[in-house]
Amino acid sequence: MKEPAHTGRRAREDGELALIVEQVQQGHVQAYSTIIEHFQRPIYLYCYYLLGSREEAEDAAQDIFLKAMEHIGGFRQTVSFSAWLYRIARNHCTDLLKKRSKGFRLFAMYRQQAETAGSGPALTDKVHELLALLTAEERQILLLRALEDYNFEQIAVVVGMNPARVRKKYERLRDKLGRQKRKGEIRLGEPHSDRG
Amino acid sequence: MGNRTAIEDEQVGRLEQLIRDTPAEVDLTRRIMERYEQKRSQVSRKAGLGRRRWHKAAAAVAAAMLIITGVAGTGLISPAAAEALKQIPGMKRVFQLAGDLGLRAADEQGLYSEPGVSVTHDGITVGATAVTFDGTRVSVGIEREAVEAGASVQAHSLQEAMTDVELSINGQPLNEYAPAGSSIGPFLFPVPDSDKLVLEFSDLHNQGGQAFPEQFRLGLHFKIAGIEEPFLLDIPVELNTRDNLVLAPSVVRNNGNVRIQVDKIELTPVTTNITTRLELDGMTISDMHSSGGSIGFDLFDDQGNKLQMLSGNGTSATGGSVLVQDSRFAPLASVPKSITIKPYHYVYKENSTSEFQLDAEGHVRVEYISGLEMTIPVAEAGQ
Repeated sequence: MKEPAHTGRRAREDGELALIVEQVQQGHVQAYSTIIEHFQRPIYLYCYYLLGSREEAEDAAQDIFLKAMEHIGGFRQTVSFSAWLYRIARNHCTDLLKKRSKGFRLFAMYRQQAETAGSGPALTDKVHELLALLTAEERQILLLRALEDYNFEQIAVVVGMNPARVRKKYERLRDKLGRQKRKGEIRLGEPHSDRG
Repeated sequence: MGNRTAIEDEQVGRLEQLIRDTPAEVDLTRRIMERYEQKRSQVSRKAGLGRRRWHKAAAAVAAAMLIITGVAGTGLISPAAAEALKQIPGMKRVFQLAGDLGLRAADEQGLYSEPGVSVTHDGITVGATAVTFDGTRVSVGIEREAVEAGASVQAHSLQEAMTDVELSINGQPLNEYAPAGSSIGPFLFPVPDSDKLVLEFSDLHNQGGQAFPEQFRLGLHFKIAGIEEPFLLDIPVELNTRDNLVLAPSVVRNNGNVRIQVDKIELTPVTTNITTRLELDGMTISDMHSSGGSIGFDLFDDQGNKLQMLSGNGTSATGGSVLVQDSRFAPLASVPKSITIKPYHYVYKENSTSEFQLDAEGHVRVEYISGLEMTIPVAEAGQ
């Protein structure tokens, strides 16, 4: 299970990734598998919680990695590779959702699929229920915080907003989720410890 | 109030934890790599693109290299990029926004022209707002603007939205200038404004190709995601620098089975270009890459200042043991007495040819190859 990233380790990982990316750019195609291994779980979960189905998330994650591979020659490290990859993921999922054009009914579908999806339905169900309270942008912000431990500036790069706006939106989504807790409508998890 | 925030934080924190810990077995590596190989072989069969890709990739590498140190030490965004993001991008000229110190110099010194050509389809205007050509590279600032309310392609950055890029020079395909069997791939470099980018390409005249004329019409053909009709810009280009200094030092160094010769050094107000010929004894260039023996270059002025690396590209025959490379660095403020080229190997982790070692500050470790280092006199040679 992936642990939340910490800044020091993140810097090291970024440095290493930058070099692997460089190798791929040099034509060492195989080095790309290291990149896939590093990001496949968070990218898959990012797609899963945006798209709502495991099958679609798997397909989307594959397409995202392929797209990134095809464009990696044009990647220049004015942003991190991670942010660049998530920008591709965000655009890809946004396109899929647009095509589906059933935006607001999405989360009803989530729940149905989650129930039949095998492992951990009860757990992801609760996550889906809470995410359903959020706007598409808020969901993206929350997912980037959760999966990559991004700060507001890093999220801003991915979602194309300024960091102050991201912070505002994050505070708003936190309030929304907090309100649910107080109303007691949706309770999260059965914590085994006091740490959230 | 404090209590309320604590509850909210706890709720969000727990939700984030649940998202992170979602049970899911994800193993897509093999499938993706297979699909990539499949796609690539189809593309190569169609148009021999494999080779072009390599060139594009090789050139982008160098671009990637220069920023590593900045990125590795500070987290996700280099300080320069972070600073640039804070500024109001809409108000900046595209070369001003570029991380490339050469293009900033071109902007500051007025070594560029403003072609002011643009095309509008479906309410989206894309135009070329700046172009500079210094004899080593052509850089074109491209900008996008929505001119009708509701005409929005903002979901994609311009770099992502722009596809099917084809270039021509005076009506002839760009690749007629490439060495036989090779091709010239343009780069699309993002700047910290997603509606702008820098399109850049170089002739490969140091690698057997033909030099671009001093004045030409650049035809830029491309598509924008979501818009059916292709865009075509006709951009006048002319040499913007008159003070280029070109040296052909032919300095050679040998170290083990590696021989490096510096064929040419071009100093322009926008770029410092070095052309090197690397020859291996008893080993092919691709063997060198796959065994983790790739060689990179750092360039220093006579005061010991390291120059920002910008981009590069190289040509090597399939299965060959000679690699001719152009490596482009930031310009020198004034003509130095000498420059020093320090070739290096990357330092890999034990038992790995893909993971590099980092120092305590997260910088990539390189090992200079002292036997290959060379200091080349410039001032006297150029006068």
